[in-house]
Amino acid sequence: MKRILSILFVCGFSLLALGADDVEFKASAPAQVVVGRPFQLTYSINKSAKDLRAPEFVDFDYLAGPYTSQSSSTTYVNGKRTSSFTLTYTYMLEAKKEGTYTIEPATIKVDGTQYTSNGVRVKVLPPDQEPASATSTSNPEPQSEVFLRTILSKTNVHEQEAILLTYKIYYTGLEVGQLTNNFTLPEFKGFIKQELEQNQVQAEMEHYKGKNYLTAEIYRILLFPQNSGDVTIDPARFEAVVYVQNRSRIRSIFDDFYATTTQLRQLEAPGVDVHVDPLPANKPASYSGGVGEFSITSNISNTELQVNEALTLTLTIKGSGNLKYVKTPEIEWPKGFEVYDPKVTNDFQNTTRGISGTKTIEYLAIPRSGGNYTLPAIEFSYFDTKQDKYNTLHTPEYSLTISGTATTEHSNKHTRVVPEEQEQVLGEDIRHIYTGKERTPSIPALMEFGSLKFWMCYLIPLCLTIILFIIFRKKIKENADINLVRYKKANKVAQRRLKTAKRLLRENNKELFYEEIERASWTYLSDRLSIPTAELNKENISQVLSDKGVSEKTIQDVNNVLSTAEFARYAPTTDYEMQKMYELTTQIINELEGQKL
Amino acid sequence: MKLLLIFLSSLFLEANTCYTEGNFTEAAKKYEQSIAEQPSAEVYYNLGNTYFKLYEQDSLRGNLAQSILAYERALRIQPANEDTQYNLEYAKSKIQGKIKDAESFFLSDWLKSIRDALLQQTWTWMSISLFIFMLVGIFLFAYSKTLWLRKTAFYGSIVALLISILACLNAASLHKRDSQRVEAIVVKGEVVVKSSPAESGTDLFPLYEGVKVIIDNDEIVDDWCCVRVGNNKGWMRLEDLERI
Repeated sequence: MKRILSILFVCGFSLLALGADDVEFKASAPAQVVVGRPFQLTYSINKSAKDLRAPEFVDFDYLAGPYTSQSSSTTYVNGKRTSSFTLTYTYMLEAKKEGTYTIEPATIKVDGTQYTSNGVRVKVLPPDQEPASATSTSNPEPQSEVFLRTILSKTNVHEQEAILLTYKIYYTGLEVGQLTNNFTLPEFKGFIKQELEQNQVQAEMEHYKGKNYLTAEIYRILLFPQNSGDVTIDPARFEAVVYVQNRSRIRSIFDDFYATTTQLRQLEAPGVDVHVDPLPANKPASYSGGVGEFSITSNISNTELQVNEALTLTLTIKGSGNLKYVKTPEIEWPKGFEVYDPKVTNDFQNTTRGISGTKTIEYLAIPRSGGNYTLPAIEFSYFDTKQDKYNTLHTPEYSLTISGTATTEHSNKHTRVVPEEQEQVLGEDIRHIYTGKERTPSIPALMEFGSLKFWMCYLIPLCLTIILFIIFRKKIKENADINLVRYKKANKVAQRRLKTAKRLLRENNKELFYEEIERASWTYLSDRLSIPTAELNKENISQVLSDKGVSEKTIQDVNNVLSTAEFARYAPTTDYEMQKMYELTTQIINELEGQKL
Repeated sequence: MKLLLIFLSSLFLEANTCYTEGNFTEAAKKYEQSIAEQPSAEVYYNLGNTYFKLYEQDSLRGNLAQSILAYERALRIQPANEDTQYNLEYAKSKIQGKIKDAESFFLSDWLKSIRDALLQQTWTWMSISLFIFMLVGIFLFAYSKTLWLRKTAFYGSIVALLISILACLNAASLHKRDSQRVEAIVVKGEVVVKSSPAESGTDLFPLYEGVKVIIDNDEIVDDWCCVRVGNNKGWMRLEDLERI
């Protein structure tokens, strides 16, 4: 602030010719100045030039100038030389009264060609109002001050309408270095937040409450109120590094460099109230949820097409407001169109007016049958914040001509965009009532579960079975007893008969001998096999014996004995044969006795 | 008896005509009369459809619950009717506020669906006949002389006994359900289930019209009853329920 002039020294002068760069002739001055305070107006050009004609400074007092300064530099990078050259003219001016003024362009000549600079707009702020008391004490010490302001773009808004909230730092009499990471933002309850890209902090001068401050925006955020009513945004807290000039003035040449101290300052941005109005009740049916200013355009890929050829309808919603939260409009496609989910492409910028940009929605449909169709206009409604009412926009209607007829899936497979065809469900309903004549009445159960009757159904068969078991068992036991006795006694009986047979053999009583042998054999077999003698005969005996696992030879012997005994009784035989017969019978009985039958 | 049957069927046909013409209020009245005289699965099914149509027309409170109730009753008489099952599922999908299903073991779900597939009587007779079959099998096993017959009889009777026991358990379960009428449908639009049988009880969870609950018959205090929905348990007024 105290710097009045900073002079750029000529560092060197290059004799080298300047390249064939374009001539750039620029005027620059601070955007804001204060009445009665001198400021610099500079013209700079990158070529050697002469004959600068500055405009007439009507609204400003001309103090001094033009001071000329030159600077040039040459750099070598990888053997390549680049050089730059700047010629600067500086004027010292002072504003006379507040207002916004334009300094007209100046002209300059380079190699005989005239160039014109840009004009500069300068805002002149009123001078600081000195407090009445301050005038009496001629204390020139500057008052240092630093504070934050919370600035809302609007305080009376509708639901969903974008508000820009800005925290701005104001300072005078000191330098603000930077903000630390130690800060707390309010919760922004009842709002949807959308952070904005933070601008490069650039200090500007602003006249606020009778004083001129340097200001800088430190934080910006977009807010979309969600509920109507009065909403309070809580204060925010920041921490800043400030450089304060020492009060004890040390008069030395290093004054400016060392006479400052660094401090950490806690700053609070005050809380603010927002009044949120609800959206009017008469919402159109096609209301999209959009609040702001929007426009809509539609574009169709083709209006004359073949069956199974894809059709794209592109809808573009453009504007600013809560564009991000706008619903995709529904399209009523004619029947016979296979419709796919729309593809939505967003191109948004977060601006101070809200989210602006475009939302592009691509609807894809494939006609499956030929004919002429009308694609109805799409309605898009939103709440216009400028006009304070609902606006409904329409897209044009499209007439579609589909040629060809519906073809089978098979023949068209290669042209299909999407291979899978879903079974179309047009609607859902309950099934129709029963109209037949047969009825299923509710029949009372024949017996109740758990009743006596029920248990009887189990008990009676069980008892019957048990009784049957007992009867069977008894009978079997009886049979088993008889058979066992006979089985066990079989050998004894047979031996007794054989003994008799032996006696008869000795007596040479042929007839009785063979009778005894035959009876001995039959009784023995009957007892051993537990088969009554009456059921046994020569025909079945072999079968029965082979079933019991008796060897083939023994069976043959048995048959031999039985048949010989039967015939030999009445036929002439020798003693030797009878002796042999006796031995064979004994042998068979012994053999069978050794087997388990 | 014959005269009565003719009368019934004419009432049923009249109701069907009303339904087809879209006069659902009249149709419902006629079906109700028909049920009062002789309940049958078909009349309950048609009544369910009628109430459902009434519900679709003006979604008057109570019609959805009545519809679900009628379908459930139709299934009690004829459990395997596919149309009834479909419509019941469809009507159930209209119930507000989906209640969280009980986290039951899949096996118990499966067993339950088997149980509900047949009538109680069918299960009973199945159990008894299989029991007899088992007895015959044991007999054959004990006294048959042929090996394969004995083997078949042995395994056959084991399987028969197991199925018989299962059938008997199913019958017992259905008997409990039907005789005590523990299942009920919420008929009031929205009911808040309380933690105790009093208005002052803590609100536990809401139940909406058409939801099936199980009443604990042992816990009925005045006009309050203890109900179970899934894993949740609480008290509500008996008048807000109708037993199936």
